[in-house]
Amino acid sequence: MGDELEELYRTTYATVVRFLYRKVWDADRAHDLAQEVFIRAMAHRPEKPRAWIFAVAANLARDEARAAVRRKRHLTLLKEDPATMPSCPPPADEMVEEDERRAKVDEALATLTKRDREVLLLWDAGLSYPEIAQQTGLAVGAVGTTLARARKRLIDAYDRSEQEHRAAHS
Amino acid sequence: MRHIPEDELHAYLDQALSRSQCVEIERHLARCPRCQVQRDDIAALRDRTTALLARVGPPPIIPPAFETLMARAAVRQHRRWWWLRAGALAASVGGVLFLGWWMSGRLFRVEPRSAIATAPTVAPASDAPRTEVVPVPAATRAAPAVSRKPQPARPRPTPRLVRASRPVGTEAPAATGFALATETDPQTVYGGGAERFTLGDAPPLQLADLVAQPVGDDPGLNGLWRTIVPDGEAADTRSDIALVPGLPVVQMRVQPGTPGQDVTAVDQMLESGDMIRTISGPAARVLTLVNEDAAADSTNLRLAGGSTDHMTVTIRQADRMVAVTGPAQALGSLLARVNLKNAKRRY
Repeated sequence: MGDELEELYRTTYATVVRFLYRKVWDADRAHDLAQEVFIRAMAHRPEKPRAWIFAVAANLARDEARAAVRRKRHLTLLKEDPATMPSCPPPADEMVEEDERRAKVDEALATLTKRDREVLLLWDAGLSYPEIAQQTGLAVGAVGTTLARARKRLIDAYDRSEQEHRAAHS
Repeated sequence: MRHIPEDELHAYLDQALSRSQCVEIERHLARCPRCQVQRDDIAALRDRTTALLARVGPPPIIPPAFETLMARAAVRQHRRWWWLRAGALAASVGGVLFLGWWMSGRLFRVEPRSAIATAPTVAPASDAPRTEVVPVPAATRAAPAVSRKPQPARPRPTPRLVRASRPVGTEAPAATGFALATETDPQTVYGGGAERFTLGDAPPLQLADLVAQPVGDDPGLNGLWRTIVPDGEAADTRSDIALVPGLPVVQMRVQPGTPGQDVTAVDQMLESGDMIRTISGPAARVLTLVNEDAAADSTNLRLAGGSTDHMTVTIRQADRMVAVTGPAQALGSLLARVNLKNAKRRY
């Protein structure tokens, strides 16, 4: 069991981090949550560790999103006070591009329904259709339909965002 | 000709179909250009989605060693066990304390028959008839707040003794001794201290319940004394013990000696609430006791009687003596009554 978990850790850790990152949009936080997931897996010793890990990761990301909303409210209050704003240097162009790209994907993902987004991210994390079905409560046959719809909506939303961006700059 | 549904093509490209389904789809794709186009579109969409999501991946980072996570998991597990043990210990201690408290309540439950409190209390107003005996003067008082076990049930006539009947609500005489009361109202609760007793429908208090144990610091009664339990109504009519007939006996004690040389001391309550004591026995021993009584600090007696004068009357007959001590005023009126009765009597 320990060896299996260790092997899973070596092969899946990066995937779990990526899965979490697309939910929390914070690399450090994604790493912390991924480690928390594996520590819990060591304590619980689940029978199906791979599916269990992604299920717990999704729950942790959900909790994190709620906490982020609370933090955001607090930061909004702080933002209104210019004295509390830290004086940071202007970001480099690469960072700006990266932020814009991430913002566009984030917006495109936000246009999806919660279930579509969850199925898409689980698929991107490498879970099989039965694993996705188990975690989301869908029938295995419905995973393909959901995934087809989610892909289409994501690309449509991203293209629309790109067009708006180009129109704004021209 | 049936074309391949879109979701099946997605599943086909995601390799989520069985081998037989894949063979069937590939056979159809080989002869259906429309489905081939759709397959290519879906593949492009799939690749774009993957690329889009890959562009927003986190920066690469070296994951911590697996052993590090194992150590953190062990620490967390140890902490969880510690809290579990602490919780179990706290629950055990709480359980033991509760059990002790519950058992103490069971073992030391006070019988709801009579109650002796350390101070006189004002009984709540009640329409039910009430009988009170307050106070018992300190001179005749034994240890304060002595709780006696109920005496074995003995047939007793109506207890005349405990009767300083007073209308409810009137002020009791100055009381320094313990108070003793019975109450026919089951709801009434007596006791000024921490303990409270519901008397309920307990039978009227018997004389034997009143008699307190002797104490060594009773002035005028040095030596070893044994309390005699008077036998109810017959207590004040006994011919073998010197006492004032007609007065309720509060306490009766004897100091044993050689046969026929016993000394008895009887405490009785006057109607005024004052106490008198009759000591009888060999003249020498009685005189010694009386002298000790006079020499002793009789403050208690005086305070208890509510008067400041203390008086002793002795009657000697051969080698025997009877001494009556008590408040001068009360004793004087008692003697005056005796003389008056003797004067009127004709022989």
